[in-house]
Amino acid sequence: MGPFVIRRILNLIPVAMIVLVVTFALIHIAPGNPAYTILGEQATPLAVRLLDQKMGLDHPLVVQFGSYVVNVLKGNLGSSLLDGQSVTSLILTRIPVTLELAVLAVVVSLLIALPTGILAAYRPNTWIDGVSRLLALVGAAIPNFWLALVLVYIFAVSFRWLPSLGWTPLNQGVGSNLMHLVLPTIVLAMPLAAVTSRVLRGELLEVMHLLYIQVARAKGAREWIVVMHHSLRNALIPVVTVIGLQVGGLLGGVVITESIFSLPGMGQLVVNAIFDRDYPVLQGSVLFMALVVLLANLAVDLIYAWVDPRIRYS
Amino acid sequence: MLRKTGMAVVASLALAAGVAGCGSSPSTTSSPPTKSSAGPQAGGTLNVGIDSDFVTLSPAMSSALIDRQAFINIFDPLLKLSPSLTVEPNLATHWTITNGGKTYTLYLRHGVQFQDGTPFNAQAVLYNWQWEMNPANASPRRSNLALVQNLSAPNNYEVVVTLKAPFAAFLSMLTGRTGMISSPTAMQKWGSAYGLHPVGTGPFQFVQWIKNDHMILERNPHYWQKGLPYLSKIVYTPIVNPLQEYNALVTGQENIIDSVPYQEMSQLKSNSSLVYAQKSGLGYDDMELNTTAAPFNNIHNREAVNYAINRQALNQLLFFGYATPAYSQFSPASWAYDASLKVPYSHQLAKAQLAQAGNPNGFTFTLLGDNNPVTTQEMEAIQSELAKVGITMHIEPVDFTTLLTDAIGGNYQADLLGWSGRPDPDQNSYAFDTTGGSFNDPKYSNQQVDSLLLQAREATAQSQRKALYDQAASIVLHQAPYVFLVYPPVIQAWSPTVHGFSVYPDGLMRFATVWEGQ
Repeated sequence: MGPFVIRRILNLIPVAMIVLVVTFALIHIAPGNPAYTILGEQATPLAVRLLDQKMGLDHPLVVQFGSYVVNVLKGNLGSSLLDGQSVTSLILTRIPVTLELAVLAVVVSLLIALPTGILAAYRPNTWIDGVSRLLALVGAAIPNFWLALVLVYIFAVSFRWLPSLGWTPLNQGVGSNLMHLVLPTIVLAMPLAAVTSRVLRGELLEVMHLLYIQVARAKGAREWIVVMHHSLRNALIPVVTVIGLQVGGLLGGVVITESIFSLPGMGQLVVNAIFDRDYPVLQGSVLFMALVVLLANLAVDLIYAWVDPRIRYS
Repeated sequence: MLRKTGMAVVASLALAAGVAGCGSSPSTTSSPPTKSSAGPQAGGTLNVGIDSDFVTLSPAMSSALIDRQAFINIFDPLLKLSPSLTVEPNLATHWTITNGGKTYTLYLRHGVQFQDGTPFNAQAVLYNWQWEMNPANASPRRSNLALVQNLSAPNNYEVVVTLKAPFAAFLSMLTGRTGMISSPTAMQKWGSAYGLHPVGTGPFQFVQWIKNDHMILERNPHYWQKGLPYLSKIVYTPIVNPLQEYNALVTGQENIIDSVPYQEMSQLKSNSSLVYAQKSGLGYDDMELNTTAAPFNNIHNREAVNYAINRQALNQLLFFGYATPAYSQFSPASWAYDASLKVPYSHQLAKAQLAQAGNPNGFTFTLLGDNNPVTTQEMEAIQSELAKVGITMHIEPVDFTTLLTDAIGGNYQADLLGWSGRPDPDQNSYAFDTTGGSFNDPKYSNQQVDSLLLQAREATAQSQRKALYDQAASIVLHQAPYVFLVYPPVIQAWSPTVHGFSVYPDGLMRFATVWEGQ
């Protein structure tokens, strides 16, 4: 196990390099640079050139990239071209928002997916299965920005039960913090729950037809023990895989959700950095998010071993 | 100076609309502000919803329109704008214009301090302007001061500006970012990070800015206008989704918002627990046509587009009738507005122009526009208008920086940009229409227009300037380097507990005299 984890962590390095190169290349292919953001209409060729010099953007791209990579290796992600804030501190102030939102979304999606998936598999092709299928269909099909606005209209504008947007840090009140996150969490959790629920149902159905389940039943095990103990654990591996894969999608959904609910998280940071061509902020954030996705997948691999003791890494 | 737009993000995708917010319309409707029997009360926090986050808080480095919402309360401009767009004394108490309109002498108010205790004086003004004029600092203000030949301070309270040529809009410019003076102490202390630590002389001082979350200002205890401001604190929250910004006002999370989506207007009007006001704005929405590239290097193709667009229908469809059809760079809020200037909406005339251009069955081109939902809708509406006369228009939504880069670089056929507008007509026309002008994205060149606009900026009498602008605007309209579409209005809404607020044509929310009460 130890060498496996170390090897996997070392594998992050080439992937991080690829992420750096691709991000750097993509944002430099896009027309314009931060000088246009700062100068706006006044971005005459001369003014752009002067500002480029001031920001060090007049060097050849290879040189810029090289010095950036050297700095990253030293642990220095640079600072924003627009306001000089350190990229590391920008990420550190944003990450609690996105992390809390993402974790809550995964938890809530499981709270929805586990019961609906299990019930649907336990009573396939009944009305219970039908309802579960409908929920999954709706959850997967509804665009999150639309769902967000509808939920706001119902729970914030009409009933005034929840705030329509904004964010309170945890240290300024847990209650207020959670109240602000209820709607964004539901919006993010719905599509996750839909997929997880369907995968779980399918896997459970397959497992429940296997011989050892019949043996368990023949031994007189109670039905819910058969489902929850014998079947569920074996059906979980693909489910864990799906959840791991969803982390990437989740970070994508966060971009839109944060923007609709005005949450100061990573999503907004990245979107604004793209629009502003704030290269260091964009590269730093994308690198960070890529590492999060990679680590999430590593965690999934480790959870496999726990779910299925037959799996051993060497 | 910048066209609006900023970053109407991915999220506003939805049912949202009404980003524009920087325009005008002729009528000034307003629901009556609730009168309170008690006088102004001190204290309280005002929660303000704004449609995008600030970019920088340094007036010397700012080009985004939204930044001005913060500046107007942190910095007191040298001169101030009245709601009817006249220039009034402020930090400069009076001025003289001599030397044939080339020398401006500004007399500064005594006893004013920056929020950090630095005295406000002629040296501070000079320090700011010299910093902005220094090419190494790459300030967007540099072009505003391009006509300055010499600056001097004969004493602590007198600034003498000598210009290379007469410039009638100079005073008007001092009501904006060029007239907003930063504390030299703070500029030196923070260097390139000054945009995160602004210090001015205005009614409110900067406390905290957490990007995409909020910015806090608090009462400046040393404000030179005794007894002002009333509020103890202002919290700005950027809300990029226009519908969500309106929702935040309805739910009471915000006390006032800088713009209202047009589709919510009927709901707002029937909501007795909200107050709103509408004013003609200074800006306009328009298409820029690249006169140096096919198909719009042919004037008849430009004219065909000009005739083929039904501006009234566009106004109804996208602005729910709250905007005004536009035919020039001068909005109804400006003294240079000419209501009689227009071109007819006519398929027949458009087709005649197409025939004259040598392509009677129309032509094909691509329109670039910002990828926000409002602009995209606008582009689709234009597309369907032009299709009626056989012109095929492809739509290319791009992000704002790309749009700006391509527009400035002349790397486009047509784009949809628009201009947030400035108080003096010179600021809305000269750089746009004269040969080689810095905002002249269509690369339009016409000697007569050049000469008329130069005369207008050097003339002093308003009536004389008006006549010159009328002539220039008529030529520009008919030669159509720009196809003007609408003047969007400024519509702002607030809770009845907010008192003493008025809407200005520039859309900037001034809070020095605002107070909260029942």
